[in-house]
Amino acid sequence: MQSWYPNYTAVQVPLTWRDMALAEIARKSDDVTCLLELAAIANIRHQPPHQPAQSPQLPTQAWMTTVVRDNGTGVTFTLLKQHWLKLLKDGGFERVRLVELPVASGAAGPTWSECMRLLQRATVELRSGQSEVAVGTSREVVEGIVSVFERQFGLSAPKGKSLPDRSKELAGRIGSAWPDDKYAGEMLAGLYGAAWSWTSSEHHYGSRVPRHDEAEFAVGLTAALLTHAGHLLQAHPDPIKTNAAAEPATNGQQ
Amino acid sequence: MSNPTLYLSRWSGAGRTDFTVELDAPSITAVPSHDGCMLRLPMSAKPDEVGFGASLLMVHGKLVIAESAANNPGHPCPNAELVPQLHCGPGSAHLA
Repeated sequence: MQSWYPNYTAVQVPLTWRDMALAEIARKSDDVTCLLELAAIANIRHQPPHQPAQSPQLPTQAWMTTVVRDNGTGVTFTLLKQHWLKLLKDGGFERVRLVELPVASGAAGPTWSECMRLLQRATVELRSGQSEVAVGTSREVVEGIVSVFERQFGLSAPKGKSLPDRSKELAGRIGSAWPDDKYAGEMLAGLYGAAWSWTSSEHHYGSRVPRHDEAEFAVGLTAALLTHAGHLLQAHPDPIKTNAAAEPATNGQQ
Repeated sequence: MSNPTLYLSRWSGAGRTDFTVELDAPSITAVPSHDGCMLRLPMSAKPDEVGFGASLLMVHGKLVIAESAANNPGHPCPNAELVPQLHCGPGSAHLA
């Protein structure tokens, strides 16, 4: 008997954000290998085992409803990277991105790209429930952003100074170099200080704030820091002009 | 590249294939849901006879994504009726 319509339909698999994030981590930037196993209830032909010669009225073939299944190993197939990324996009995974980050080029381009990559990783870790790991990754971003500015503006990294001190010094230089944008440096230093404190491990000991909430704020704060930093880098692409007096090679002793 | 294919058989079928299910992998799609998304895996089964003929009535299973651990429970594929679309009633909104 022929079908009126092709028996062509689909099975559907519900996935949560966490499922998608874990798959995104597990694929390691490669194609996605999947395994599908199926079982089914089916109508199949059934041959009666033995037909007595004296009962020819019994049908020689019957139908029964039974369970069928694969051999237990399923089937493996590959979703190409582009296909998987489209599934993520169509599934709405991208809509939960925190911000659209600016793109910086120039001397700091590679370091900036690394910061963006780490922030993306922190976002994925946060979505997959790895709160502490996400905070640690955010910390790596915060530690890297000062180097981005120092490279972009051609400033030498002062030795023996902590990163918060370097960020404050950077803010001072920015304020001096851009008189029409003098608060940009203050905002940068303020954001930096907040992100530095919030991503420090000491800050979270004994906290009554749920760990996931703290991690979510840490990733958001880091994204805000990167957003502001990216805007500054785009607005001021040229190196800061410094003179030897303003940037002593020693500790200030003449 | 040929589509991935599953061979379904009865437990007592002595290894004889009763149904062949072909997955249309390039046509897999996703639609957003309230807390994630719904992956839709189109497939076709043979034989697919209407009425009292040989046909799959309902399938379920599991899908493992990007992880190869043998004991991975995967993501369950809830029961889906595999009847011709002509017979799909209003209550079968989850079908294709």
